[in-house]
Amino acid sequence: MSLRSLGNDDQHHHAEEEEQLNDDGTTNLIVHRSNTRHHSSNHNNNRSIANNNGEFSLGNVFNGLIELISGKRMMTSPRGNAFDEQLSSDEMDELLETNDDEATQVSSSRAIGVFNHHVLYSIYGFNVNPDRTSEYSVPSQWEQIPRDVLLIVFSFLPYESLIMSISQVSKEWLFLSQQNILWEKFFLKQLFPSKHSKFIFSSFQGSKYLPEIDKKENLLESLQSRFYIPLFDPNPNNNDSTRFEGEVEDEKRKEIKIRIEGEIEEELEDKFKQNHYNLRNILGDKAVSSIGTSEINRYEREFYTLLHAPYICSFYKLCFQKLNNFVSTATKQLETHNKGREKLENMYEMCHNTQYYFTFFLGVPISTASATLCLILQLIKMNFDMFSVSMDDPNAIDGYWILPFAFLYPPLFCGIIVLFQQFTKAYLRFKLKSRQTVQGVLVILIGLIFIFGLTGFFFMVNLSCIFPLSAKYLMDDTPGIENIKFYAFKRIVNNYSFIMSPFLIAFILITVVSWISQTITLTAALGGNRRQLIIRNIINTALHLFFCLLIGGAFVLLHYSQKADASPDDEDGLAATISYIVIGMHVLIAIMHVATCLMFGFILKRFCTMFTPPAKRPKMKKLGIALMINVVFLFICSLGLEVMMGVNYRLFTLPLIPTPTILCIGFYIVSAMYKLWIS
Amino acid sequence: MSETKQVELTSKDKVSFKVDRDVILMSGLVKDMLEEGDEDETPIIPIPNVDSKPLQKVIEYCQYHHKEPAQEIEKPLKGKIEDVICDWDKKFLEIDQSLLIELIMAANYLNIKDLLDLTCAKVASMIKGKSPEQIREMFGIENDFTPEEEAKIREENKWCEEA
Repeated sequence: MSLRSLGNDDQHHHAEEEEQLNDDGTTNLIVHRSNTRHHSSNHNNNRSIANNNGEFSLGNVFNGLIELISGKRMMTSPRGNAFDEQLSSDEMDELLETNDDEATQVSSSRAIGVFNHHVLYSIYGFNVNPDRTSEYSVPSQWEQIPRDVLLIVFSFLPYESLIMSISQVSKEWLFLSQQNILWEKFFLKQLFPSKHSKFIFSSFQGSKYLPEIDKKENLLESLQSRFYIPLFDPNPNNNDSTRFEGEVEDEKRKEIKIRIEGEIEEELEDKFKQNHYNLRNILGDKAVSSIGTSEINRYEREFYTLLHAPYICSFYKLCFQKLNNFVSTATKQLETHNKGREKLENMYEMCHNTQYYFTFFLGVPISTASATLCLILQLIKMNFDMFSVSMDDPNAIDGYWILPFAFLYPPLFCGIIVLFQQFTKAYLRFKLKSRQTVQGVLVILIGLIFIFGLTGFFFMVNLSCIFPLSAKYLMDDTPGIENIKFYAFKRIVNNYSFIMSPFLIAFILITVVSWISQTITLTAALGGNRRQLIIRNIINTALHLFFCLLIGGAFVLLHYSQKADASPDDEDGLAATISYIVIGMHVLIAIMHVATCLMFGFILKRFCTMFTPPAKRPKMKKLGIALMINVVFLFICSLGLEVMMGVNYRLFTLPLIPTPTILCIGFYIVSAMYKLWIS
Repeated sequence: MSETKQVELTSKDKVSFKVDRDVILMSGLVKDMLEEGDEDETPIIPIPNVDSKPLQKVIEYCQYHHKEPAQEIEKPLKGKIEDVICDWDKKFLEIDQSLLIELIMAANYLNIKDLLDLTCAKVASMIKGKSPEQIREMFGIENDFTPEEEAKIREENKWCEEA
């Protein structure tokens, strides 16, 4: 008696048991196979599981034997013929060889795979790849459910659910959701309603290898390639045979075509015969009688071929039309999706550029006018007695003193608008799932702290000077009435510096983090040997480091100014207090200048590439970087001047007045020249 | 009038059920086994992979649908499963999740296609309309996609969402 084990160890032992019994000559025990294909695999599958759990093993088989011998019939396992029908002898031998060698643990999953592949198709058409499914594990109660049963579950789900939900659950489910069986009906019903279309799919049943779909592939492409390539190769010159695990050969394709055409011809010929549609009936007996029987048959075959041709052509036409419809519908859907993205990208680009246009046409003139007026007022204030500080007249120090600061509001206003644009940009980046989203958020944070910090500072300074504190709010150690305004001013500045401290610390931290991130990027870029990236990041890193040090320095200076906390008793003390405060203030202004210079630098860099054709962009980037460095240098000079102004501003205000205008004009000249040059 | 032949089914937990032979022939597994045996005797069929509780439900199902053949459930489900099955099936499916799983396993093992379809359709209706996260939670499946893979799949499948 022959025995074919199904591949697991249990059955292997089972086989041994049977041989012993045969030797004794007492009885025969057959390891049955199911004639129900579905069952065979699952039974096998379940056995395998049971063995692993240790719950079902030889014990049950022995019980069966005992009961069989004792007279009561107890069936052990199902029997069937399907296995024999479906499994080729080569594969069977291979399996048997595998089982014989106990050291080879390929066994059960392989056998299940063969069963899935060959046997289960008749009921559900399962084609689970055992190598792939064994990669996964589902750690839950649902784990017990075999993958092929999961496929039945999925077969009840609408196609949208397969795409939108199932394919996104896990890798295993993604793999299962792309199984042919789930999509066959969709294609047969919606794309190829012709009865002949079944041949397209039946080609898979006899195929040893199914076209394996790369998980990275677009699902739409997967579906197209999976269902159409076997018959209609969209790219016959494509020699990339590695794309699929099982390559569909040309011969196979031809064979399918012949089968389809043969089926159509047979059907048509049956219809012709039923309707007596032959040469004799069409031409009449007289015409035919003059021709020999063999010739009549030949003519008739040719006649039939002639009639078949348009039918076959119309079938192919229908197939291609359906394919075309499907592809065009899917393409439209993809286009709609892409249009949405394109719209967002356009908005982003617009927003990105608007910020530079705004700066170019509004920000720069406003800042220039504001800075010039500020310097003029400061000059007037310092050189006319009516505005100078008089210790004898407490009312001499009034709002005029601080008026120049008011002119710094317009650039701040520009900054707020740019910040708003940054907000929009960051939102669009987020929508576009851009990696720069985090960077955008960081920029906004820096901008927010900077603008709110400075606006608040100017506002409070202005407020303290225009509306000095009333004497009743002053402390007991307040100096003489003549110093009251200075005292209030100083206290507010000091208090404000205290309030600002957390902001400054946060600012420093953010800058440091930003600098670290740039340095890391630089390190990565160095590893990747990307020259341009390295240059860009060196500049960025240097700027960040400089900015970081400057902010840190400003923070120190601001607190240093608080040393003037002691109430001035005399004029010298008052002068010292004022100088401390003024130094602190000017350092803050200097920070703002540095920020402005960075902004200008980046704007210039951007201008150099915005209108440039792609071919010239690398050159323009270099020019932009050079301009940026120049601007940074100019503003650093102005920073030095500001600090010196804080010590002795009378000497430096006058030559500074034309500086903003010169810078502004220079900016426009460079831009105009650049535009002219690129045109 | 001849007496109806019976079959004894023994569950994993050694509980025996006597059931009419014609009824249990709905099971492909049992049918195969019975074809091999002597028709005069009352065969004892061990069902070692199925507990008594789900086996009882299976017998219940077979007894009912032996007389009232089950209607085929359309694929894919267009609405709720309750809309396409009979009242008896609705009541039959009012079971907890663990029993449902055992029933699926039993139907699969015993090769009762209609019952397997019914229980699978029930699971499908539980899945239908749920987000991937909800499905993961329901099935206790670990998300083994990397965030990049997840985003990519979502992006690739957007055409379906927008259709």
